[in-house]
Amino acid sequence: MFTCNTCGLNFPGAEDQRSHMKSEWHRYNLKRRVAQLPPIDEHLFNTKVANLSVEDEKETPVKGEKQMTKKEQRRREKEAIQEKKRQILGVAKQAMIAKMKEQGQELPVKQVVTEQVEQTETPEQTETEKIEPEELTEEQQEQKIIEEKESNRIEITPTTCLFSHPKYNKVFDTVDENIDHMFKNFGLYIPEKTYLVDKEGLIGYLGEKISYGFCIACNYQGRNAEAAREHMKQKRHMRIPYESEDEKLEISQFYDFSSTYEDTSKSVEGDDNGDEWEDVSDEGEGEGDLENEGDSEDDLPPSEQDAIYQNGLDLILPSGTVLGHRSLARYYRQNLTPERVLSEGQGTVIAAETRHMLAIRDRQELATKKRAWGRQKKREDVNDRRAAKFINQQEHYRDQLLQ
Amino acid sequence: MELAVRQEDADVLLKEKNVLNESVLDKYRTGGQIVQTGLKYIISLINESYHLASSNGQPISVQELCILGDSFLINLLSKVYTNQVREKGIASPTTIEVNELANGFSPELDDEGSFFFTAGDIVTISLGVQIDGYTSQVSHTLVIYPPGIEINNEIKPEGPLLGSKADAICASHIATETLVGLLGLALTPEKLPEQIKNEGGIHGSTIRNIVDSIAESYSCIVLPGSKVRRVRRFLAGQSEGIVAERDFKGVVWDESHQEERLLKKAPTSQELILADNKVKPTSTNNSTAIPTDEFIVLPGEVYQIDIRMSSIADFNEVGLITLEEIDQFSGKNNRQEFNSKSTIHIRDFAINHQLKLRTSRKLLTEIDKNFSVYPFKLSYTSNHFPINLDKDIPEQVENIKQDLKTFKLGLSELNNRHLIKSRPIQLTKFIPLEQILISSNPTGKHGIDLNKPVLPGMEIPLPQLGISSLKLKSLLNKHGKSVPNVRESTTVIINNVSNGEIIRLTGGSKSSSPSWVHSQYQLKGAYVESINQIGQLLQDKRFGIKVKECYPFKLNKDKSVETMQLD
Repeated sequence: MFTCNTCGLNFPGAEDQRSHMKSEWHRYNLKRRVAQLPPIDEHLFNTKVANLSVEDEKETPVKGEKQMTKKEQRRREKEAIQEKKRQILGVAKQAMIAKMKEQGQELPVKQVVTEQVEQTETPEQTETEKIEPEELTEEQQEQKIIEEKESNRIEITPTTCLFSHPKYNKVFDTVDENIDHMFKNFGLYIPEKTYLVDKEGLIGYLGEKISYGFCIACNYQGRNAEAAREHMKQKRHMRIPYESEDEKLEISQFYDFSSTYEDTSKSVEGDDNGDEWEDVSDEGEGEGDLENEGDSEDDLPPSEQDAIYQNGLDLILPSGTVLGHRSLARYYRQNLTPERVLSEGQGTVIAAETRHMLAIRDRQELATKKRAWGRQKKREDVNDRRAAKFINQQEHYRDQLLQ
Repeated sequence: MELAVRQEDADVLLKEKNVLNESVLDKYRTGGQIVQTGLKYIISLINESYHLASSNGQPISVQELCILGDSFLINLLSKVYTNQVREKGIASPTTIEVNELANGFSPELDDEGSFFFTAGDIVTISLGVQIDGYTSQVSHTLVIYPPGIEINNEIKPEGPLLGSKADAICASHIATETLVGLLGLALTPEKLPEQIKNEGGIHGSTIRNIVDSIAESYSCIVLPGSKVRRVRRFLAGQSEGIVAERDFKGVVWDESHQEERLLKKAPTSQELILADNKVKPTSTNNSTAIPTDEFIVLPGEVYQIDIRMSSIADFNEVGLITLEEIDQFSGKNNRQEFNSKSTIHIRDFAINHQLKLRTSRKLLTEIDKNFSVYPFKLSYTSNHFPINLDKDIPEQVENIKQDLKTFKLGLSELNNRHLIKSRPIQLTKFIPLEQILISSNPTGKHGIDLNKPVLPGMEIPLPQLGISSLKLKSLLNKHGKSVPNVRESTTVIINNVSNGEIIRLTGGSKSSSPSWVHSQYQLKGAYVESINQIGQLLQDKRFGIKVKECYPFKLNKDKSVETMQLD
């Protein structure tokens, strides 16, 4: 028995088989098989070949006439794209017109005119103004995609399983049941469950995402919800990403971590600010500055408040050690004598002490004395100067050292 | 001075805290009771050891008496006001002075030689405690009798003490009692004797005149250092000579008053008086620290009556009595008749100094922490200090001796840096006036003896004769003669809070009845009537002066001392 598994044929002899294997048809089927496509029969193949040959025949004269230059090729490609765009634009325009007509509105005249102008314009001009429709078309395309998505969208309620095919109709009574089902069957793990306050919102959001054809894990964009589901199943993307800051922020609206913030802020206040306040109350009034500082600290957003930098210049370690900033090193380095705290007895004795008052003199008396000293000094200076003036006019030499 | 106290704080500390109220009175009273008990305890020890001779062999020496007295006070203090007051303790270490010793004799355990009493000695016991700065102090002089005779199963002395010592004891006792009465009359001025009433209240000069007249009638001299002064919280005269205390209120006797009295007697007094052309400085602002007699005793104040007297009946010449310091470094006086180093120290808080030795730094922190502003002895810093009377005493004494050695070095540095000042041991000396007058005095009255603690304004002992303290000291070398002294001291509160009465915190008949002495003199002079009148008022329970004495706690071994009555 001689067979061809690719094409699904039987041959009476080896010769036939070999000849088949050499045929174009078999080769084609082989390629289809690689592409996981079913084989086609000989007739269909022949018609296909016939069609292609017709096209070839059409094109071949052109080709044969002149070898296509690269430049031309590019131009053609460009033209093809433009043609395509124009077509899309046309479709969109028509859709718009139809929509407007539906709403009972008239097209703005101006637009019509411009269209007419466009039409009447020379091809060169159209060439120059190509950019404009291109931009337009981008927006339009986006819009179109969105519309497409909208049209493809299917409603996925929070009680519906996100990953099962609609045909199984996995719809539950409660969200919790749904979550449980998804955890058991698909391993969907919901992070930080204790702080999750809006379960329905989260599942709803994920459902909406899938309904638009997005994968929840890698933001792969499928054509529709089914494509997305298929992708997720294939790639095992049935999980909620919760690693990077962005990923966390994406679903943060459904969570409430405020209880943890309060805890930390409370502990911080209890440890440090509490003491500060105590000090303030101990020392009584006149500590306005400190109080203001405290207020401004309270105004800070929570993320900054529980930071280890309390006032920006020191770093408080968990052990309670305070590291000072380098810029204040000169103050930390100074060696001040500790302030003496007097006991009541010492204070009384110092208060009653009058020894230091002995130095206090009568101001008037001191002033007169000072004046007298000043006068005396001045007189001495004058005498010295006078003596110096006549020092060279002495009759006989006198050694200063021997005087 | 580096330290200063804010005016508001100073007002609180110096004024508000001194206003009498129940809690303040209670602190005073408790302190007074402890002092009374301590005094009674020491007297009982002396009686047992010397009069009753119950301890066979060696009697208790002065060193042991001092440390036992201090330990006793500390033990009592530890039971009162626990955790209620920050500062309490001994206000003046127990000092026991024999005969001519006048001040600051409280030998440490490691002092060379031990001191014992002999019959006929007069012994002055002084001690004091403070609770929260409210201080009560006492001094009492008692007589050591020869072994007595037994009458009705009680040992009694054979007879009273006679002679000059007896005169001084009589005079000082009468003076103290009279002053207690006189201060009590500040509450009821209408009862004042006519003579004093005419002077217009109780002035400082009134107090001085009364005491002087009593002393004169017993041919005694009021010694320099005697005073009747107001006591305030933490200011009980413990740091006199170091701190010039603001608003000092009190009468103080010194050599200048004796000089004045002598010059008054001399017919040619004007020739002797040194012409003083110098204008006295009026500019300094510390006039309040200089004691004057121009004050009036007011109700609500607390007074310390501290009277020391010596008789000059034995000397046939005119002269005055002054105090001679034992040299601080060698612990000797010039004639080598007495050897002992000063042991009582007080911290001068105005001075701050970075110390070099570790032991001295340690000692200083200990002092600052434990002894407040009151004087202390080195043995107080020992870990074994309050001697437990129930345990083996000789062993504890040995331990304290060992501890003293470690601190001796530190103490000398503190002393050299003037962080602490030692209270000198003083002796009473008689010096004939003739010797003062005939000595040449080229330097005049310049020069102040820094070792001598004197109150401000009293630096020159004999201002009219122009003799400085250094000159007087050198004169004492040759011509000084020892003279026994008597000291009676008591703290009284002129209580105006509840049913006006005078509270006698220390002394009095409850703890220290006077010894049996007999004097040949009788009261005379200008103030006799007033003194007698005050004496009668004190006796009169109904209409007289109400005196409330502080009772001592009951002693365990309460052997009553033989009653010794006063002439």
